[in-house]
Amino acid sequence: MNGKLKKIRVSLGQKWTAFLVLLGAVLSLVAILVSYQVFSSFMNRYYDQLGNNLVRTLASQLDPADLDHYYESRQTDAHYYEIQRFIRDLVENNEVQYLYVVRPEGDGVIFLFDSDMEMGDGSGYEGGAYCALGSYTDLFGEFAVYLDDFQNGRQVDPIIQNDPSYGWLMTASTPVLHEDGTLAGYVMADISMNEVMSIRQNFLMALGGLMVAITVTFLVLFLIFIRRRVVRPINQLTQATGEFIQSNESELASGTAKVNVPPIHTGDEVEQLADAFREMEQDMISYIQSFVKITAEKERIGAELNVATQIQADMLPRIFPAFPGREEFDIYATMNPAKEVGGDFYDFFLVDDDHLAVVIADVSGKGVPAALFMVIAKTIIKNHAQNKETPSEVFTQTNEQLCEGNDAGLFVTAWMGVLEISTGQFTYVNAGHNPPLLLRKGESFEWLKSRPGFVLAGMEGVRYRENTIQLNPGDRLYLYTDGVTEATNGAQELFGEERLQNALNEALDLPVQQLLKRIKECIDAFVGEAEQFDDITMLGLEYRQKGAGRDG
Amino acid sequence: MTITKRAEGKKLTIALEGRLDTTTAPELEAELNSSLDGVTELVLDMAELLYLSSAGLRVVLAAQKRMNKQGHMTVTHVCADIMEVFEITGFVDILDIQ
Repeated sequence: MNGKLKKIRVSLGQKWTAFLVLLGAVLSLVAILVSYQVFSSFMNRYYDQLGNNLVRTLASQLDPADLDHYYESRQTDAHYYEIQRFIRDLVENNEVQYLYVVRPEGDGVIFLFDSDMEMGDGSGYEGGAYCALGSYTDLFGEFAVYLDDFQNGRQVDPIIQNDPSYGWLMTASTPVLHEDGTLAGYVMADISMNEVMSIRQNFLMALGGLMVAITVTFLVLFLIFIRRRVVRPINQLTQATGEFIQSNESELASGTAKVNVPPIHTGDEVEQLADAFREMEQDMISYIQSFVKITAEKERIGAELNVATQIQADMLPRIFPAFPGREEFDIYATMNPAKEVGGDFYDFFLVDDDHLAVVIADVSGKGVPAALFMVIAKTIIKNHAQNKETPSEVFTQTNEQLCEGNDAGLFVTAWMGVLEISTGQFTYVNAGHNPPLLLRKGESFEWLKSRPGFVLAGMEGVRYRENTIQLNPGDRLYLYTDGVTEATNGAQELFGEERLQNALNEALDLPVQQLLKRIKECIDAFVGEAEQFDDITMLGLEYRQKGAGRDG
Repeated sequence: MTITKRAEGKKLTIALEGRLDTTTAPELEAELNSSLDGVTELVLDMAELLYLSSAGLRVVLAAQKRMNKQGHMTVTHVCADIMEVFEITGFVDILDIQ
């Protein structure tokens, strides 16, 4: 990780702000609507009542006979002004615009009293001042709808309408009736709706302002809270973890890195998150420490294995020509371990001037256990052979010694032969090993089969039998382990005995060193890119001439 | 590799199928270690066994050694290729192959 954090497109704060503004707007709108509705209906009821009370009060004070009188005479007198004054007082003491008394006539009404009338003033209604006694006007607009009710003296509910000449008014009315129930006139009161509306508007403004103020206050408080308890801690965590990875790469590797998550005590999920981060960093540090340790250990083991490989290789005779000056025979051998150390080995040595021993063996299993077992087996075989024991005695003794304390259950397949150089007599023993191939001079390679004994270290008390053949100058022996015949290519095919035999027979003229190289090349070509599973070990021996001048 | 066990009283038959090599031998070894208690007759059925490596031989040898102490072991249905392995390694001398 290079610590390149993706840029934040919309921060948590912005998202919360948008959300809260929306929430505040919706809540405020709902609150305002509901409050306004409640307030409006309350106001309407209040003004309805006010108008109705007023007209009823006036109606109860008016004498129908007076109305009849002024309707008929159309003459004002002292009594008329007395009533007029009473009406004016009512208007002044109540929140009404106009208060007046009319009597329906035809499709309109005749005015009897009007609160706006000046004392003794005689100017007409059309002048805009007031409606004098006896002035007629048509019932228009909403009033016309109730014409029938007015003409018959029925109670009419308040009428609200907006008229250019009168303004926006609510008109409450109540009839004044004679004792016999006939109509004497109507008392009407006008209440200005403009005023009502302005009260409503003020209410709306105040409510809205309050809502906005509350929303903004909460928003600010909430954002401060979010910033302190959520956004800032998260930013701290982001920064800390980023730095942990970036600046600690070298420290992590050297195992000196420290947990750097700052202490966060919000008492909620954010604190949990911080704790989890801290734990994660702690785990990471300890994992990397143990990883570094394991890697170092691995490297150390690797280095030791390299040394072991070298030691094992050094144990096998590797200097060729091995016996310069001995013209009677030629010998060459190779081993290619599949792993760092292998379980295969070969050996050859002069028991005495006239006896050459050759050994090839394969320890079951691979790696270090097999390699250790190989070292033991090789040492014991050589020790016994150098005591001039016969090959069968060597294997019988070796088997007994290897069986002691072999709890791992490893075993060795081995083939050993001793050549009497002076005579060409070749005595060999087989402990469960692949038989070698023998080339008689002028012929081709054939298997040197013999009844094999059981593997070495497999079971105590095994007696090995030896066989003897006569080698003649020009004869050759090719010894190998099953790593040769079981070399596997990518298609899971084995190199096999037939390919081996053919490869040998195509190189009859080569000296043993070149012969072994050729066979290895053939195996490599066959295997191709596939992995080598088993050690590949080969030994070639050519008997050139009988040892004439040597001691026997 | 597939290992199939069939027990009849003190007789245990283990049928091996596939390749018994370095990678699969530990599996058979563990199986034998856990199931040989009280068995007096062990049969290794190799009818379906295709390949036997030296690591496999080691496990067969271990089983033979253990059965030498507590009873008898028989190896059955050995195909020609594996028989050759037994012959080359001398295992024919110590195994009861039928």
